[in-house]
Amino acid sequence: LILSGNVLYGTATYGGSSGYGTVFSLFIPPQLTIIPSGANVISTWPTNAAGFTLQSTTNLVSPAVWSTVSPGPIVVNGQNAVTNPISGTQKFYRLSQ
Amino acid sequence: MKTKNQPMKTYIKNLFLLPALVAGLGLIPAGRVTAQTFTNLHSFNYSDEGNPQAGLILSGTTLYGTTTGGSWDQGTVFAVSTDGTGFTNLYSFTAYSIFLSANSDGANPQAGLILSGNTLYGTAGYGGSSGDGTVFALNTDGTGFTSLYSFTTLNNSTNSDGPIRLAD
Repeated sequence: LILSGNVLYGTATYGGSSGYGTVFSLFIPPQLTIIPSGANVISTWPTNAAGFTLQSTTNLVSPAVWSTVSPGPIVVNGQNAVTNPISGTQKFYRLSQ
Repeated sequence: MKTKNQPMKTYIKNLFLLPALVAGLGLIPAGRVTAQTFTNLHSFNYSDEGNPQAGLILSGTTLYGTTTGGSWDQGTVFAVSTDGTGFTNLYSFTAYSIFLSANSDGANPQAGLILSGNTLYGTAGYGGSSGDGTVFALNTDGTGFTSLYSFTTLNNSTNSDGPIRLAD
């Protein structure tokens, strides 16, 4: 296997639609971690997850409205990190590509 | 060169979202969401001389690899884009003598490739002048195939330069 960004590429000797093997890719999503820090929450994810943007919403009921979290991330210990104050009753975060 | 298109994609899940957070009442990080997306970029068929046994190399958005050719064929060097389009058979190894496994270029590559500039280098486990494999070079556009070296005949599993099938 080889890894490029968040995608693994490899081959299979057998199988596939004709039984002669395949070339495949496997997307490995970056892990978003959220931890409390006093009156803030700190969201972190790997810096090798290129092209991902942190978004948030206060309600998941469709149609959920996602907004890009500002300010953008800074790099801390090899991780993208965003610090946001805790506010309201709930907030949901995602990495969007 | 043979060119084929249209990857078959199989989406298992695409949910790389949503660690949840409840603010004000304390934090409740959700469990890990580890969904992956598997994509079949290319399925080899009889005419592809498939059955790859080695890994791939990546240059830009192009993957390069080898196939062994299964039981009846001599194998190939191929290229395919990372999105699965543009599958290209860059080179098909030629048929060899049934008795000696010998030919001019090698056969049944079981190892991967390396890339230097625009030149791919690899090894073939069979074929060549003695039937015991070759080292070859090939341009990334499929031109300029060169058999750089043919390994010598094995004698009681020994020779002067190494059995390529064990070394590749």
